[in-house]
Amino acid sequence: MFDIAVLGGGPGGYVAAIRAAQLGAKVALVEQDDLGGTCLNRGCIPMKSYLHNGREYMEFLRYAKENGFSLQGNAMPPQSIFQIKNKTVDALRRSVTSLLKQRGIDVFHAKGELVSSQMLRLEDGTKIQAKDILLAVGSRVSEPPFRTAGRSCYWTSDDMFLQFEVPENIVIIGGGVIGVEMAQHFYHLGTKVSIIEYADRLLPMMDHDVSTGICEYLEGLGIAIKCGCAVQSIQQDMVVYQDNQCHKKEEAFKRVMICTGRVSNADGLPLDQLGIKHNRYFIKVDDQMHTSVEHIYAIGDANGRSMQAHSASAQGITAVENILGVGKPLDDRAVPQCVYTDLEVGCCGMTEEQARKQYPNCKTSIFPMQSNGKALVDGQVRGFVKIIADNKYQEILGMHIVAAKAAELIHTGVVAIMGEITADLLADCIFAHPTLSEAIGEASRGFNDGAIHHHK
Amino acid sequence: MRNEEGIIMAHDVILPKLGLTMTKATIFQWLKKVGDLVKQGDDLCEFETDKATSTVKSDFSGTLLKINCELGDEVPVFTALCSIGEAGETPLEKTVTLSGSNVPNHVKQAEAGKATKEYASRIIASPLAKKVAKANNINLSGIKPANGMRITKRDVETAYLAASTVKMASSTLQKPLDSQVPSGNRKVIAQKMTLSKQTIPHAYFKTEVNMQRLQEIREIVYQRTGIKCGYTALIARTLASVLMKYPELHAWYLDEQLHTFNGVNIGIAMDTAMGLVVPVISNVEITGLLSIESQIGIMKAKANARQLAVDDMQDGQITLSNLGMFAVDEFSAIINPPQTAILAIGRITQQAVVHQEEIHIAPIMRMVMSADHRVVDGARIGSFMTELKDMLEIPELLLI
Repeated sequence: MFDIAVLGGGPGGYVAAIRAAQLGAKVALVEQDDLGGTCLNRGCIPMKSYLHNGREYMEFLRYAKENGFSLQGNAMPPQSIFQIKNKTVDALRRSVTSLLKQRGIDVFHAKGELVSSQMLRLEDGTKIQAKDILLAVGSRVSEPPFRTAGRSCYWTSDDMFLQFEVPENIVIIGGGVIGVEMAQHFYHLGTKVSIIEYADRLLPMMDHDVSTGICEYLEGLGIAIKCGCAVQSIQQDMVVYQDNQCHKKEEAFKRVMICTGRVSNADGLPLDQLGIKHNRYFIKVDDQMHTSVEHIYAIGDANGRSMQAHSASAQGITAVENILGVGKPLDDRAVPQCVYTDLEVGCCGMTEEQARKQYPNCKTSIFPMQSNGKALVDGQVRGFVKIIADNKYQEILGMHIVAAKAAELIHTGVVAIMGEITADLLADCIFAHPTLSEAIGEASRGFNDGAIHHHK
Repeated sequence: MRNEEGIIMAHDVILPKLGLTMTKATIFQWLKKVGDLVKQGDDLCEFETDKATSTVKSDFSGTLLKINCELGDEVPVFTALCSIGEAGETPLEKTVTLSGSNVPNHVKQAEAGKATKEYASRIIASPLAKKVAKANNINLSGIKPANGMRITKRDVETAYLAASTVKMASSTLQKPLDSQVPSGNRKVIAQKMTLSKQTIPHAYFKTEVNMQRLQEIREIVYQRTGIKCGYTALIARTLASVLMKYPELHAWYLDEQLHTFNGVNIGIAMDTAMGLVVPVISNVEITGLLSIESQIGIMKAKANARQLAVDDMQDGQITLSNLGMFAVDEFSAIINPPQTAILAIGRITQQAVVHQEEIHIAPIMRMVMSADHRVVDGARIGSFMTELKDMLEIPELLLI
C-alpha cells in the first residue's frame, strides 16, 4: 500500500512524487510513455532548444556572410539542431529518471487505469493501492475546429520533435504562445512564415501592449500576420479562411501547422463513473487541488487552471503537502507566462483589462527599452517594461515585459507581487547598472515623479 | 575590544558548539584560575557533553579576570565562560543562563516570558499590508495572519470588514436609516438584470405542455425509490437532451462572439437564505434523473446554510426558473448574461383540453422561453419548443 500514487510522470507528476518522498511518503509513479511528459519530450524543452540553437545557426550564417566566409559542405546543417535537441532531451530524461530512483520512488512504466479513489490498475493487471491518488495526466493537442484533408496534411507541435524539416514556406494557424514561437523557429531556418489568428490580435490572452509589441516585432522580421480570420478548411496545399471583413480567402502553402489549443487527457479516465466533477474533462479542483471525490487530487494541464509546466509543478507540491498535512492553499496570483521569441515576453499578474475590472482607477507605467543603456549595448532596443498598480496603495497588480531576456527579468515582478511589495518600494530598490533590470526600477518610478531616463 | 567610548574591554571566552546537535555541556575542570596569565591557544577548562569530552582553548592572550561558572554547572552553547583582559580591568557582569534543572523556576519563567514578548512585539507584515492598515487606522498587532507567518493585505481587509460590520450594526441600533442602499446579492442582481434588459433584445415564446406522462413517471420513481423527484429535475433532464441539438440556446454571447459548448450546464434558479441564486449542474445531458434531483437538493441546502460558493454558480450555459410552487401560471424571465436563453416554468393546473374533437381534463403547464434575438430567430426557437414539448409529453423519446 502506497501513501500516494501519482498517475502521470510529467513536470506535475514527477515533481509531486519527489516532494512527497522528501516528506517521507511511500510513492508510486505510473507513466505510460516517457518521463518528463509533454514539457520534456514534445514541449517546453525541445522547443526552447530549437529556438536557442536555431538562433545561433542563423547568427552563424549571417556572420559568415557579412565577413565573407564561404561555407564548405554542410558547416552547420540544420539537422544538427535536431541532434542537439535530442541529446538535451535524452540527458534531461535520464536526469529525471535518476532523481526519482535516488528518492526511492517506485516508477511503473505502463498505462494506468483509475479504478477507484484508492486504486490504480496497470495493463498487466498489477493493482496499485494508495491512500491518496494524484491525477497528473496532462493534455494533448486538440482536434482542429475545422475540416482538414486528413491528419497527414498538417503538422502539430507533436510532429516538430520527431523529425526535422526546413520547408520553403509555412502557414501557422493559431497565434498564441506556441504559434508565435513556431513562427520564430521557422524564421531562424529561413522559411517564409505567415500566421493566421482567429482573435483580433496575436497572444490574445496577454496584455494588449504585449500583443502589439510582438506583432510589430514579427512583422519587422517579414512574417505575415492575419488576425480576425476564421479558418474554414485545410486542403492538400491550401488554407481556406474568412478574413476580418468576412471575405473568403485562400492561402497556398508547402507546409501548414495547427496550433489551436490543447485538451485534457482526463477524458480517458472514468470521471463521471467515479463522480469526479469536471468541465469538458478539465477536472474541477479547489485551491488545495482536491477534486470532488475524497482521496483524489488533480494537477497540471488536466485541471485546466493554468496550462504551464511550472504551474503543474507548483500545484503538484501544493497537492502533496496538503495530502501529507503540511500544506496551504495555492497562491497563484503571480504565475509567470513567458514567450521565447528572440524578443522575449515575460508577464505575471493581471493584464490591464483584467485589472480595470477590479480596480477601475488603476494606473499603468511603461518604460521603453530604447531608453535603457544595456539594451543599447546589446543591440536589442525594442520592447518595454509595463507595470500596473492600483492608485490607492500602489499595489503591483501586473507586470508585462517585452525585451531580450524578459523571461528572466519577469521574476522581479513575481517576487514583488508575491511579497506584496508596492511600486514605491520597488522604485527604492537599487538596480545594477548597466542591466536590463534597471528598466523595472524606472517603470516603478513612473507612479510617483516619473522615470529618470525617459520623459513622456 | 573597545566599547563605544573607546575603552578597551575584556574578551569573553565562550563555550563553542562542537557539532550540529550539541546544545549544552557540563564544565568539569578548570585548568586556569583567576589571576593566571593566559596565552592564545592555552587550554582553559574541560567540559563534557553527552557525546564527548573536550577543552575550551583561549582565543586571546591576557590575564584570566573572571570565571562565570563553576564546576558541575551545565551551560548552553555560546555561554561566556570567563573573561580575559588586562590585569586590573573590571570585566562586565555576565549573567550565565544555566540550562536544565539548575535554573530556578522563577528565572526560567521570566526568561521565557521575555523571549515571547520580544518576539511577539515584532509584527511581520507585508509592505502592502502595512500601508492598508495605516490608511484605515487598523492596529496590526491584533491581526492573526491566515498563513501563520506574515500578515498580508487580505488579512488586513478581513479585519477591516469585521470591524466595520460591528460598527455598522451598532450604528443602526442608534438611529434608523432613512433610505436603504442595496448591498450584497440584491445589488448584484439589480446590476445584472439592468444590464440584461438594456443590452439583450429579448424575444418570448410560450407553449403549453401536457404533464400527464411526467406525473406518472414521478409516481413510479417514488414507488420504486421512495424519492419524490421534483419537476425541475425532470424538466432539466429533458431540456438538456433537446439542447444538445441547439447549441446556440445553451451558449454564451460575449464581445460579439458566440461561444458554444459540447455538454449542457444548466443553472437552476432558486430562492434561498442567500436570496436568488443560480447554482449550476454540469453536463446534465449525461446525468441521471436522481443525480440531478440530489444535486438540486444539495445546492439548495448549501445556499440556505449560506455556504454556496462562487464555484457552484460558474459555467452555467442556460437558466431554468421554476415558479410552479406558486400561483404563477406563466411568466417571462430575464436572460442571465452572458447566456442566450432562459426557460420559465409556471404551475401545473387541471385544464380542459381538446383531443381528437373531445374535451378531456389534463394537467397543463405553461413554459416561456426568453431568447436573445441577436443570436437566434423565431423559427429555430419554434423548432426547439416543439421538440421540448414533444419530449416532455412523450418521455419515451428520451430513449432514442
